[in-house]
Amino acid sequence: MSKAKGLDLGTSRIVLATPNDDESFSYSAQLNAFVALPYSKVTERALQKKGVPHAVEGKEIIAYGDRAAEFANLLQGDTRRPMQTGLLNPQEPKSLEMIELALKRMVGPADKGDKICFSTPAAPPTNENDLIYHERTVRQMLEKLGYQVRSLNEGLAVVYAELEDDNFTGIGVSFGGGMCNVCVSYMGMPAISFSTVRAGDYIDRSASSVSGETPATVRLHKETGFALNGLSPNSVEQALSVYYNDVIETVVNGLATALASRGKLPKLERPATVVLAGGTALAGSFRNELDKALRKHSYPIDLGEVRLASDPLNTTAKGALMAAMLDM
Amino acid sequence: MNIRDESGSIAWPGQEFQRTVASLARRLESPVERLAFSRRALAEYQRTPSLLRASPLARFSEVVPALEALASCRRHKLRWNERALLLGWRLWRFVPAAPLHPRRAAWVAGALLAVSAVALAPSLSPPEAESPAPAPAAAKPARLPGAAEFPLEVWLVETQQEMELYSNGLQVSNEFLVHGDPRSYVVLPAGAGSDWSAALEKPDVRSRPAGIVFHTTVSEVSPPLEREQNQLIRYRGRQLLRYLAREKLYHFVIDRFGRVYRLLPESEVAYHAGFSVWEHAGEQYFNLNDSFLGVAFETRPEALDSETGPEAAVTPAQVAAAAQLTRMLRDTLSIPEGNCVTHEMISLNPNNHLIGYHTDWAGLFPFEQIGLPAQYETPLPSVAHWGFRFDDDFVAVLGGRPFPGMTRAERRFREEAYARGLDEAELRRRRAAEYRRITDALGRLRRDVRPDGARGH
Ligand SMILES: Nc1ncnc2c1ncn2[C@@H]1O[C@H](COP(=O)(O)OP(=O)(O)OP(=O)(O)O)[C@@H](O)[C@H]1O
Ligand SMILES: [Mg+2]
Repeated sequence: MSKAKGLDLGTSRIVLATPNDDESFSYSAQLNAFVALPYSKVTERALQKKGVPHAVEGKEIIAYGDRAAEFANLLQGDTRRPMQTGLLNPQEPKSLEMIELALKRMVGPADKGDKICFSTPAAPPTNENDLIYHERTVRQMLEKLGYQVRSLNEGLAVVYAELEDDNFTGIGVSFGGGMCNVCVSYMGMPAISFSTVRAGDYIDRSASSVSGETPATVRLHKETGFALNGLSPNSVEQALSVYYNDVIETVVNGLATALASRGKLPKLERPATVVLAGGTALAGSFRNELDKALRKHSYPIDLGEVRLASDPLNTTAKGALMAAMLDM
Repeated sequence: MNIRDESGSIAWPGQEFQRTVASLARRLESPVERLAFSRRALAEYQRTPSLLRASPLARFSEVVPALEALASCRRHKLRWNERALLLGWRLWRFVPAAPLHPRRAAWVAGALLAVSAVALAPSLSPPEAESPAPAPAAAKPARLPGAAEFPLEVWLVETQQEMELYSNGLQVSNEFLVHGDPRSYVVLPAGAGSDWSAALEKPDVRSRPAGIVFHTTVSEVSPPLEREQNQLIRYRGRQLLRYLAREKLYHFVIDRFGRVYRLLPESEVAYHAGFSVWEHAGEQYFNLNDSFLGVAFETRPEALDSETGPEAAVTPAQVAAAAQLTRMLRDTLSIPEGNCVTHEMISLNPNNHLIGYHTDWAGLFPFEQIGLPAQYETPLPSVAHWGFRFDDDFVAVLGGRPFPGMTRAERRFREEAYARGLDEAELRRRRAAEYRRITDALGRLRRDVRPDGARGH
């Protein structure tokens, strides 16, 4: 029997979803980052033993995934990232090689008839061709592994995963590392989609430059108990709040513009639920702040409840898996 | 910003269509099926001629494409009146293709559709009127006519052509027999909160059927038993059997004349039970496709109506044959009576943690006449141990009153929470998590036990 897999190919994390026998899904994730270590037999054996995805290249050994961050810390260096703002990173020479390594190790080769669906961002604000290149390249890699491949807009994946009770009608937003992806869906069909490039990495970078801390320190702050509620005496948190609000406003303005610029929108049977997913949505009070910001505008459709996805880090992968299972 | 208008030239349907699709979607079980259906419905809508959308029959353009989509997803989820409407619709679509003047053809076909609509008027409520089962009847209907008494032992007397004769008079036809996957399943200790790791590490794998689940086919294709329908009765009966066999839905089907058909050998799996749990004599079974036999009575949709009761749904011949068949299966396979249950007693939905996902028999199964103890009295393990609940919809199907096994199980669960000094909600939460863990683990085991991985349910 052929199998289906769902892949969230994110700027900061890659998540793979697979179905269990009882219609529930399982997830596995890796940090989408790597580090180059000086080659030694001992290191290579250690990586092998711990099952860390890696490749030997001349005098270097490249370690990929969750462990890369640990090694980077140990060496007091920084990790390198194969992707940037949702797409393959043109500034990283090892970008393709690393994604291919990650896919081989996480997704593995296909059995006959196996299907996979991977998430792609909506066209970035700057250049549509980058998206085409990204989509084609990843597709080829997966086809090489033997899969029947399809891709799915990340915002729509959020709708698939979360809006079953709304008959897949509503607005899905993924607040990720490199991008925020928004999709207005009507009965499972995308009506509007767009993305912004102000997301988690933007927050880290900007807050780092005004507070003088490294982006890694800022990220640690952000991911451990930071909440978006008002002024803070701490300069890092203050900076985080400011840029978080910037991220929120960019998305809300984008949505207002997008909805206003569309002529004929379907009349919805009930107000559209807005679902929030992705790592950046995990900060404390994020939902509240976004809700407040959304209510400041008026839109040609009624907005209903604004809620957090049930499992925000796995939402996109789940939606992609559902899409892969669609024609099985 | 690079805003993408994804919809191109899509014609967005109105709110009525959305409501229709939403309510029909509820008949589908998995989110993926619902998604597929929803998208297909929108695609079907695109194919509706705009002429119709503007005509006096506009309302159909909001309903029929959704039915068409559901038919192509899951045919048997359509009701008979919906099928009839669909037929009218297809005629409508077909006629304009004929070499008539298009406008005239459209009107002819529209008239046809209107005629079929009028014919169906009483039942043509919008599909969302999923009429909740009628209010409780004054009393449960009287018992069915009794079945014969049997000799003590049952054995196969002879096989002639495709017909088996057993010593208690049972005759089983193998005319529609197909083959499926071999049976193999894991038995766990009864109850919740035990130490599962030991049981899962050295799983007790078995291949003999553990019990029987009784079903009704609730098939709209079976015409009413009336003399005028005779030709249809003969034709449709065989069609139904062929369909059920092809889909491997049950091991045995008892038609309305009391004829017993074996569709799958007892040693193979049929997809009849879905998500489910049962326990008896210290042993527990999860998702009973793998462990239990499925026996279905051919019935019309009224089978679930607690007002008219089982007399309207099943015939005395069926009851007699079921008693013989049950006896034969219990004797030849050593099936304990405690493992003879009905679908609504075991069926559940792990997603919303409610029992009664499938409702067939609606508390009306004539256990006594089949020669079985009153199983509706047995506390349901789903509720007693696993903290599943039941909602008003299910109780309404049962005629407004839960059967005793449900309320007893509820009490047990409450008592356990009290004994453990836990809030009921807290115990329920823990049990739901435990249930998921166990079924996940069983799912993985099952894959190992049967590497070809059978279909869902
Ligand atoms: N608890 C947390 N609080 C705040 N931010 C968090 C938390 N956990 C993760 N993040 C941030 O979420 C981002 C990663 O989210 P996610 O995994 O959804 O992105 P991605 O899918 O890899 O990226 P993209 O969708 O943009 O391509 C990172 O910026 C990370 O710092
Ligand atoms: Mg993402």
